[in-house]
Amino acid sequence: MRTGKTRKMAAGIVVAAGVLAGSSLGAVAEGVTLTYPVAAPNTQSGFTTDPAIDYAGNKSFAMGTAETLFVLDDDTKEVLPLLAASIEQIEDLVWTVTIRDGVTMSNGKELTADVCKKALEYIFTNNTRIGTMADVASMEANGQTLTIKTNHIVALMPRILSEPNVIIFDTEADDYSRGLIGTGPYILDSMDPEGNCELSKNDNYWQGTPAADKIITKANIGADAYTAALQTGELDWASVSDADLALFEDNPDYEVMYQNAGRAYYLYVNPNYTFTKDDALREALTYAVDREAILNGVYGGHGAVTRSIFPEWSEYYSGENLQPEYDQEKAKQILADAGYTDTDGDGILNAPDGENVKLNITCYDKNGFKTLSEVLQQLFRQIGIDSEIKVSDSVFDDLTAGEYNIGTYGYNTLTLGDCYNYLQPVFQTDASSNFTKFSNEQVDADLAEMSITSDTEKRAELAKDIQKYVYSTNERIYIMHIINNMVKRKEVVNVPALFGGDQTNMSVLWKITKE
Amino acid sequence: MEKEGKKKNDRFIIWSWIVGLLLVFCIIAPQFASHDPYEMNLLAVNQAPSAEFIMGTDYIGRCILCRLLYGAARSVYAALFVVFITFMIGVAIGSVSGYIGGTADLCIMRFVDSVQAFPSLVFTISIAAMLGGGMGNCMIAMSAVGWTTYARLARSKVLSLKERTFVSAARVSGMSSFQILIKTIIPNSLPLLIVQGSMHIGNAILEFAGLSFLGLGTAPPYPEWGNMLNDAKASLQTAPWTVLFPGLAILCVVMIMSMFGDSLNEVLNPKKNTASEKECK
Repeated sequence: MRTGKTRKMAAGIVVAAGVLAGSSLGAVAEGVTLTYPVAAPNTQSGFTTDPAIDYAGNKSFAMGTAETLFVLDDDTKEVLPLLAASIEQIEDLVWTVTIRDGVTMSNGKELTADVCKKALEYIFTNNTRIGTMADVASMEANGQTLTIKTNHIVALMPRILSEPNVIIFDTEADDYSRGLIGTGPYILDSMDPEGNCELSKNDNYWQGTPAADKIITKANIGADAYTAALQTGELDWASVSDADLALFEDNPDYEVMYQNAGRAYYLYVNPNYTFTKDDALREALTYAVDREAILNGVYGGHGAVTRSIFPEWSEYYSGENLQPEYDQEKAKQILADAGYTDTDGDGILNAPDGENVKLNITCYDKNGFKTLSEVLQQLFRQIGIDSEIKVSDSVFDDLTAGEYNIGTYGYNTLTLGDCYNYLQPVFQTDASSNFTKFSNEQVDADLAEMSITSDTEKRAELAKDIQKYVYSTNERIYIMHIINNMVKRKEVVNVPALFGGDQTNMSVLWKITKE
Repeated sequence: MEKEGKKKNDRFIIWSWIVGLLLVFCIIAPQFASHDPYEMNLLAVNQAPSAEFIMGTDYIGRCILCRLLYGAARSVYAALFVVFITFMIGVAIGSVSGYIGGTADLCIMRFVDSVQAFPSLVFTISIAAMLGGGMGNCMIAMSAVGWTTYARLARSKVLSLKERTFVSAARVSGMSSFQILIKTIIPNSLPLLIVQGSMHIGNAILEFAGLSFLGLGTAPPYPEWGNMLNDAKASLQTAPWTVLFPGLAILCVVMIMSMFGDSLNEVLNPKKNTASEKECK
């Protein structure tokens, strides 16, 4: 009798163990899922992966469905091969790209020069920004060799081909906006109307078997909610606001990673509008900006103050040409010497013509620009200059229209690891982001030379030469270079230290998994 | 019954005193500020409440208490002004519409219907955004949408009053239509409308704070409670006091105004309240 009971008990234990084992096996079969944000591109089109639209191409790279021919080394910004094996400039206007052998797309199609040619043609023709940069006249495909001919010398061609938006994909697939097919480690299974995607691993991925089994990308979580989503476990990694970093820095469940970035926060000071037409006032404003206070007070110290366009670690930095340091007394003196006095005793200086000085500061309500503007408002007030803040959703348009005194702005000064993509649009006469209408013959000549020069030392020399001419007009006040952050959950592994931020090299995605 | 009426009167008197004190306090509040509400201190950003800063400091080191005190008048009086304007416009249009009737009444009421067909907050936000934000434009936007409630209410009251014998008597005595409206009909409609107005104050404060929270209200650096909430939302987890105190200020004022509205309603519409109380029983 006792034996029977024991047997039944044993059988029960075995069954229970089996059930437990089964459920545990079920969990294993489910595999590793990575969840992270991939926001909609900056466009009115909603979430799309169509590389013709704005910055939508890099969404496919970020999700792991498509890749680029080259990537930039996160650290050195050197051009490294990815889908291409090499690139060579055989003539001034001709480049040959050798496509890597043995790469297949997720639909089984072999990667050839012809596939690359069709993808690049689509992007260069339909994406004006990239098309203008590349200025391609024609392309020819022969086996694994792609020949690119340009209309003018495009020294940056290898860097353009490493732009995360210049992805290689199958142009014969039906829907580029919601079903783009490329060579990446993951395959897009579904995308909901908000742009949240589910992806499964591509077992035939050319670099090896992807480490995670499934990826979920979230487009419906706003950047404001990343902190909460990380805390609830809804996201495995994300970049958070500087104010929220303290929540993760000492938390053993998370790891915070930092990356020096070339993105500068600076001010446009308009020399063509009301009070800031006056050189003396612009000069005084340059002395009135307390960079250290702004960095520590507004951005929690997550950045590096600068008096230069380029960060100190960049080869384009010129220590000989810098903007003046913060000196409030000097600012007051300049204004006094120029005839600015408080004639009506209201604490606000009157211009030499008697009018109360009041500037307008235009800013976005993001990236701390509104707070930065409020701090500037107080700093300017301390030297007797009144100002009002205009928060706008379309700062680019407002600055282009020219009806502003001061515009707060952020711009990556080292896009593609090079200075040209900042200097040209911002300083060339009549260029797109030259909101102050800066014009200098020598700068234009230097930029023209830079556009056809591949030699990196020569490019650095030209960049330094340009800096000799641009600071003296006080049309731009450089404040800081930001440091990107990425917060990841501790169990996520194989994430390189510099993963995240601008111009991210996502070629490492296939290695990332969870412990 | 009398006891109940006295109780209601007492309640109304108490809430009237509280509202009166609040309105006076909003004006003199800046006198109690220990710091300059505009003075930033980037070395004391988001500091927790302390002896020096009783409610802590905000995202650029300004004293939250001082900003609440300075923002009180702006937050409360802006709402009161909106209620006053919407009341005046709504009562004028609704009364005229109800009194003259006919095609004009039909047209005015269909217009009111079309304004009320939109969700009021969304409509207000759209108008404020179109006008370009700022305190004045927010008040215009709120007034442009808010008057319709008073118009509808005033019209219905005028319709019920204009056939009454005292109005006929006024007409027979030779009073003009304008005089009849001003001297007999509107005064008799006022209790209901005033109650509606008093109850609207709390909503108007919330709505104004909501617009400021969306960045459409007061321009920096001037303090306003909704704006303070908006500015503090980024520090919700790291410095919760920056959100807590403006939120509490709004809550308290809205509650006071609502209680005042209720007590006024009890006094001015005793029959209605008694009937509804009986129904409940």
